Amino acid sequence: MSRDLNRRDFLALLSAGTAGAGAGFWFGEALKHPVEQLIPALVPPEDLVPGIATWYASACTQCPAGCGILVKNREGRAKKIEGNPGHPVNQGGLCALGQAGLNLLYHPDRLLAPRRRSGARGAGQFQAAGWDEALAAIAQALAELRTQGRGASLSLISAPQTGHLDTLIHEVLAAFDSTRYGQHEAWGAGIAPLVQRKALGLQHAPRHDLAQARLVLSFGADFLASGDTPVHAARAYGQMRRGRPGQRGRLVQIEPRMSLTGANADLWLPVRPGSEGLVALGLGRALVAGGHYAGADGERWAQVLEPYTPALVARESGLTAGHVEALAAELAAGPALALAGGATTRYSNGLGNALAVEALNQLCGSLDRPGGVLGNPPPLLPAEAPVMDLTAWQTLIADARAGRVATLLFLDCNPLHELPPALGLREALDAVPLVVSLASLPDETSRFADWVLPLPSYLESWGDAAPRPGVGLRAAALAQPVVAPREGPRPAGDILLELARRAGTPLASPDYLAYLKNGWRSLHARRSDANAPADFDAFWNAALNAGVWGDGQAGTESPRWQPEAQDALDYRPARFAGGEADYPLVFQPYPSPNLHGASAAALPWLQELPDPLTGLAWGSWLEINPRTAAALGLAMGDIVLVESPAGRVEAPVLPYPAIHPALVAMPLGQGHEAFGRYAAGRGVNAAALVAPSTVEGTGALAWAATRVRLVKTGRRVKLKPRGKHDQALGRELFGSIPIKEL
Amino acid sequence: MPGSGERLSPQGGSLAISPRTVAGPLRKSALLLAVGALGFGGGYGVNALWFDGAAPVQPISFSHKLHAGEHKLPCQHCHLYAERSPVAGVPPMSKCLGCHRQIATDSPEIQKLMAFWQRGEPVPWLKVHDLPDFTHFSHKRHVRAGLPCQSCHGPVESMDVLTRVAPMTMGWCLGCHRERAVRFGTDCWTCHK
Repeated sequence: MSRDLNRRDFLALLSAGTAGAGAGFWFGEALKHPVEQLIPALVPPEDLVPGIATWYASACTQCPAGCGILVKNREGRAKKIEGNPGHPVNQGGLCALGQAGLNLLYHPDRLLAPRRRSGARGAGQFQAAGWDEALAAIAQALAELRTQGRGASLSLISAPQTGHLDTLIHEVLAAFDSTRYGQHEAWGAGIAPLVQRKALGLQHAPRHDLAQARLVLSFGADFLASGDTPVHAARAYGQMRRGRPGQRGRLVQIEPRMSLTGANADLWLPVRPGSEGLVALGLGRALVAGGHYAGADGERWAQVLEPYTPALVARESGLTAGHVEALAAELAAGPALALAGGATTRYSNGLGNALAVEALNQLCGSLDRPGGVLGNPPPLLPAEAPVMDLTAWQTLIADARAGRVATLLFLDCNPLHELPPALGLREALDAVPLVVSLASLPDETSRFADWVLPLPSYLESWGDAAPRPGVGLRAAALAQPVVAPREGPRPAGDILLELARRAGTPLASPDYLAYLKNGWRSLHARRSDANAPADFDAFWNAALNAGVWGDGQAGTESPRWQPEAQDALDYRPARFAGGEADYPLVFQPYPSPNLHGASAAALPWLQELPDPLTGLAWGSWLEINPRTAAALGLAMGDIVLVESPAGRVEAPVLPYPAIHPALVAMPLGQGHEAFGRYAAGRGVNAAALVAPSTVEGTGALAWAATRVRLVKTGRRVKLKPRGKHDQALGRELFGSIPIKEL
Repeated sequence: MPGSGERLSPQGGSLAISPRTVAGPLRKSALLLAVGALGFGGGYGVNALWFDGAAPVQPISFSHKLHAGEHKLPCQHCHLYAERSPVAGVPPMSKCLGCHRQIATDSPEIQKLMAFWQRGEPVPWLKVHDLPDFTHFSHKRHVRAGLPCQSCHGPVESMDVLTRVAPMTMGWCLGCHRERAVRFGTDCWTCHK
């Protein structure tokens, strides 16, 4: 290089300097925080301070338990949900479903505008429509039905309603001359109402006093995970175990597949599926024979229970006679609380099983005493419509096929996914001229609707929830919007009131909030609680602030054994759909501890939450005893075709040590075709295997009364249980050294 | 291949590449690099000196000098939450309108404000003072300790265009905490929770 700078070198140096300066400037820029904006409120909300959380009391309506919640709001956004410590049902606790309510509020697939079907039913093709257009079309159809005198052909099926929306639905239907209002829960109504009436003479569900129980004998009742009020039960269970110094309550679980409650038990006894009631009768016989029954009708009991000898019980249930004797001795030592639930009440012989369990409560002296079965006061808001059982659905389907259902409204429920497809609801909808679904997510039922009307989430709505009987007192929780509602959806109450107005039969209330306030005004007027403020506005504000109002225990019933129930105590072996030769295994679908709520599968937090017993998430699996699996040549992850007389699904095999060898089980909740991005196309619907038959002597669906067979597909997937190990591998769980060796 | 016959050999006299031919381009590269580095430093310096973002151009040229200086409005008249919240709060639009429905309605800047209000849009102010998300700072504690706003924000009442005067770095925070012997003022967890 010469001393003289030639043109080429000059340009090179200039470029280097410029590039360096640019890079230096850019580097300085890159080190800075990006400039953020400071967005003022237009008009500040009076109870929100930026930077400080505001907590609102409300009610969770994702399941009918009706827990009270506190929702944390920062700068207008809901951030966290906790249990309301002042609510008698959950007492500050909250289940995973309640926590995941935020997922529903912020779900990316929420429905925000009314939709009109544009393709074939079930094709899932819709066009966005305006509210005016949608409401006008539906109101016109409803008005026509009324003027033609065909009001009875209007049917409304709702999610369980325990608040004033229930009475509003009833009144709106009445305005259209219809009384066809039913509530829908997964699997439909159980047999508990019949049992409590028949065995205990109760109008309302009894209260099982777990908290003070000495010994709990649970026949399949998974009260900790999937009972009616799991949070309430879990709190009482904690009290039973370690809330009383010096006395630890004991839990014995009798069920063929270990549930979460079974995993918590001191003793878990797997019995042959369907023989639970026989075990209860055998224990009763031992109590009476041992002279532990104090009642005057001892001889009659001895006579009734005579056939259920320890030998028979042992032979039929698979337990040893020693087990039966040891349990009977435990029972004889004092009162025990016997519970029936889960599959025990949903075999073909479920009614007999449940009656036998209640008889055990009578025989060990647990009725109407602390730590046993107590009565409950009537609910603050009695339900206007029963929860539909299988018979009610079959009637509706038959009516639809015969053209006696002109308009069908589904409110926030998804029976098309939750009921066994073999029932034929999907096909029956073809004969219904107008199907309307009110929903917040695009579920299966909405796919088959002609109109889909979007609902806000419960965190954006006014409402209330009165806990169902079973918690021992009359209470109601108020739900209030804890965030500004998203634009588009309208609350169910407002939609119904608007439909009634447009059809020419307006109700007195202009909107649902006014209706709700009126309802609470009448609750206030007939209050028995002397401490409640006498002025309604003060009362309303106090209830809104606390989130809940309790009105004492007036009208509490007393359970009394009904002697007629003794005649019904005969053990009949469970019968199953499908012959044993063709279908060698009994099938038991069970409510997943995580996905037991109707909306649960759509919520990603719950999908991600590993199942507490298997450690699996995001899918479906078939639980099978490792010995049975080995005999069939199946290993973990092998995909099998599960066939029942009613249907077939494919699922990977999970060897599960805590299941009876004659049984296979599958969690419910998955297998959605629609229902948002987190649920759609994930797992299979176990309900597809269930043959629709009733528990004998009731109208309830016997969901544990189907047999299946397994066919290898040759395909397999890698199942990845999270953090689970079901073997000790020779290690002691808790190391210990005798004091002498120390 | 050109030159493939030539071999580097320590014994032989015919080295293919002489030191001179290597050093020439190397020197040139070094020079280029040096000029580039000089440019880099210059560019960075220009950025730091004149483009530090201490006084961003706001959507409406609001003057603190006019409001807080000449009209002597107390800071917390508009920054409502400084005494009870971690954030001081930017005044809600309704607050501005409270006065400016009547006052200075013919000013073009106020007309911009009215246009935002009529569209139902908030004014997208730019943050002048902003701490990283991993620091926890509370206005409430500092205001209640009797610290004047000016200690951190500078003589706001004399600024036509609001300008950041303090570096808002950790060393700057700690300097003050040490000087005033703030209780737990140098604990990590006081600011990094």
